Amino acid sequence: MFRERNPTTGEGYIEVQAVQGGDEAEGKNRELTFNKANVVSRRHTYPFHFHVPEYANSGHCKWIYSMSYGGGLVGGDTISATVKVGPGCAALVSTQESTKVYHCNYSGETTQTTSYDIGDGSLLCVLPDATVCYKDANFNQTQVVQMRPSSNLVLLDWMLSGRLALDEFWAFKRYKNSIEVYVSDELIIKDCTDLADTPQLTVSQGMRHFHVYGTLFVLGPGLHFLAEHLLGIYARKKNYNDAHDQDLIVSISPTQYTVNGDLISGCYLRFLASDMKNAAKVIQEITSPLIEILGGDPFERKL
Amino acid sequence: MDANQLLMLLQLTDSAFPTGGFVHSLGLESFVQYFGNKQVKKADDKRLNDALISILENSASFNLPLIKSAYITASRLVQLHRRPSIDNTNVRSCKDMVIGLEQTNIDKESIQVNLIKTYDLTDELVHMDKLCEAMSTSHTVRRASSRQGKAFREVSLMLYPDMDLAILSALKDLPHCHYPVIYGAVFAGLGQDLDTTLTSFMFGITRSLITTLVKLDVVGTLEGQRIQLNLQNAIPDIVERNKCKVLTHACLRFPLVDILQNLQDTFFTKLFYS
Repeated sequence: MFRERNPTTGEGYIEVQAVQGGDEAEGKNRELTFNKANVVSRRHTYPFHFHVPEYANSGHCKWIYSMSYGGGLVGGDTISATVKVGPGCAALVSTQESTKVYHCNYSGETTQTTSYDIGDGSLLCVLPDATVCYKDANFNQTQVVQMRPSSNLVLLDWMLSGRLALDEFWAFKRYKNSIEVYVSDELIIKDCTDLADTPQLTVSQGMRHFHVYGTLFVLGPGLHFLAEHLLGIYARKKNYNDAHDQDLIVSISPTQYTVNGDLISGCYLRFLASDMKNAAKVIQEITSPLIEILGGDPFERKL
Repeated sequence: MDANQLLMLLQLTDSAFPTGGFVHSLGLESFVQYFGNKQVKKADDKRLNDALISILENSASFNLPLIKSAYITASRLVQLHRRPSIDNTNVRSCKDMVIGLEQTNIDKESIQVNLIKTYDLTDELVHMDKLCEAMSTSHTVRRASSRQGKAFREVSLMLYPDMDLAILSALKDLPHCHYPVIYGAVFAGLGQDLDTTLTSFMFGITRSLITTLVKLDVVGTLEGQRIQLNLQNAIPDIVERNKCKVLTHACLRFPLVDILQNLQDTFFTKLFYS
């Protein structure tokens, strides 16, 4: 019989650095050429695990999988992880499957804090599978990104309404998510969402028929092509009598920040989809321009 | 509340107070356009009511912690500067205020202490304004907040030149002029109490929503007032739940209306700016 494990505190640290004297990858984009990267430090404690497969992709981008044993986060788990990407290299942080957050009936909340540090001229893509908060889960997630004006960031954070087979529809107790982005120690983005029923309205009522909710940040001088690609599709003005897709809403904002005279631009995209099939359309628009740089599609055969 | 304070409050919350609120629909126009005027009009009260409550909850969970923090900081500024009487007309920045203070006959040591505190408190307001900018990730929300804040500041500076000097100078130093920061600071400067400040802000949101519904021909004026009354009944509970939150807890509660609001610029025709 399946027995849940007890809540635990797990920690992880991984550092990726460019190989000295390594050859530079040739890319279409001049800003996005990276040295071959190696993992120079990796440590983790149960139940958290950083997995770095040797042959996950082609090219110089280092793929890192963050996992937790037991298939998900047990109520009361506290996970704290740090990913550091040194100057001049590229890394992808993904997951092997959705992050499941189990109920918190016997504990306060499940916490996951991830810190990312991106070096000069580097690229970090955080493209995990969706988070699924089960019924009565109480999840508190914080992601903090420290970057430089020349760093590049693609950060996707998305979630599913629950276990569809059990008719769970936004049935968790609470989902608190905070994403903070600092450039040269100056806070430029703080995106906080706190989904919980209120006496006036439940989360499921507020979400109507939408099952998937996602947020994406694209920032950095080498990612203009991705921001322009997404803005070209989703910021386009509607024509007269254009119908609105009732199963997929995507909104996008161009972003521009000035930090110590350096201009950092990109875009901020959010979407709501009625099912995974519709969400996959947006995810593919995000990942397809990146496949060459990443050396593969992290969502291949998943969507 | 004395009659003068009440009359001032009525003026500040009146729809004729030119903060430009009439061009912002808070996402309601997008909601109506997206789901169709006819659909929303079909007396599908539940659907419309859910959208209205979502907007109220989002406005409260995001704005009230910011307003409260700005109010408290501005109140401390007022307490610090009760004494000197300086000619406000030439005050353009903190620096002008320092010159003004030095021209008064107060002992210099006490001026120094007060000035350091004033700079610290002004910096706190600037920090809140920058935080609000960082938290307004959607360009439509950021634009609306900054525009309304600037308009509210300009009107307040013009109407209440005898408002506390420190508040006046602090308002002039804000880099982005986000609405909740200006709102909290001005209400503190005018001596309104905190509960009144928070409740009146939520009243302003409710009033804008009803005006939007009437302008979009979703409901008539009488029906609009009935809906407003229902929404007003929810406000005390919403304020109570959000007023204890600290600045860093400002957040979004119901993403649907917020995502829809961000589509405003993509519509072929539109009546509102945001």
